[in-house]
Amino acid sequence: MKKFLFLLTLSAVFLIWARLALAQGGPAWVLYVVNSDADAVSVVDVRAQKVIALVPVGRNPGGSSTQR
Amino acid sequence: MTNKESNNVAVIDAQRYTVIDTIAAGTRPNHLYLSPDGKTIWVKNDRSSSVSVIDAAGHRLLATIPTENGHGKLAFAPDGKYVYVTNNRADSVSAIDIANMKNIANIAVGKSTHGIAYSPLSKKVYAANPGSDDVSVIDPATNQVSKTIPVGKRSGYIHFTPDGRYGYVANKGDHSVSVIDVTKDEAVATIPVGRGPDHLMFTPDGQYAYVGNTRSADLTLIEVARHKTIGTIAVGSAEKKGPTGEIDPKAQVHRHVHVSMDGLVFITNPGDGTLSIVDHGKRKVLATIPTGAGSNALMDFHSEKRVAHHH
Repeated sequence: MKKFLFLLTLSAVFLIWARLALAQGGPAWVLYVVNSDADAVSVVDVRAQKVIALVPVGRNPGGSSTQR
Repeated sequence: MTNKESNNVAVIDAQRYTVIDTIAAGTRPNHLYLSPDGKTIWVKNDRSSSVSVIDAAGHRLLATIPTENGHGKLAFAPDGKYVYVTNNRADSVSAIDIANMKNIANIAVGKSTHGIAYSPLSKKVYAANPGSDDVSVIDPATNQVSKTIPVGKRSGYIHFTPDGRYGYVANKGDHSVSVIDVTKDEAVATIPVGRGPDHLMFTPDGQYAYVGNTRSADLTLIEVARHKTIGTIAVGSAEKKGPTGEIDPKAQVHRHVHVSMDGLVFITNPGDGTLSIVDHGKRKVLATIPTGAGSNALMDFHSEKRVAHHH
């Protein structure tokens, strides 16, 4: 039982660490640009002034918002 | 974000840059807004005469509220208790009680109503009507039009200074911006800008406005204190070209402007599939970045300053 709890705690710590690492690894300021004719959203790193990801979405994307 | 031809709303994980969920909406969902309390997402369904309300955290549809017919935008007012929705085919504005998620009034306004905004100073709602070249003033206390203000031609978009004193109305048809002073509810100035002004936004201090022009490849800078144009900055094109390179002068063209808290201005160039980044202090383009075909709406996600804006 102790071993199980230890492994469970270890897994939880790892998951939290991984999430924080992922969060800190990305650029601090990004802009999402909706490309209506490409059915995709470009993620722009504002400081580096370049596109860092292209996210395929549905057909003819339109309005957008962000939520934390 | 909405997918107009898939009739749904996609949720993108801001750290993994992938779509993690889709939520069914009405027919042709278009403009999308986060409620002032950040708990719900509101979407106007342009072809099913309704608004979809989505739980922002749980990604589930909470309600579908009937409106009247047509494309439209939303304005939350006052104090997040009500939301007002334009219905451009019905020439009306629907008033929705947010707590009860119920349409409480359909208010007749000017023709082809489109842009809508709330002034925190006058505590009234202003709907811009490009079909009748005017702005309808709605008093939330009565949900009736208290005044109709004549402005320029094809007045499709309105935005207020941060203090709510002045409403700037982009007049696509006569290449100008009308200035509404809410202490009089009158147009007090007309400012010539570039061709086909569409979306506009003020700097956070309210001293300047940037206007995105759709029929000229530029951005107009206005000084609010004098209601005067003080600069024009060349950017990419908003006009999409046909297969042989021709431009359709009657095609619907939109672009979006965003002014950040950090003195940068962003404008999409859907004709070129690019994004221009402008330094507000230096009044010059810092970069033009290829993004994708039909680049249009923008979302600003600034994790350091914990601010997020949308258009």
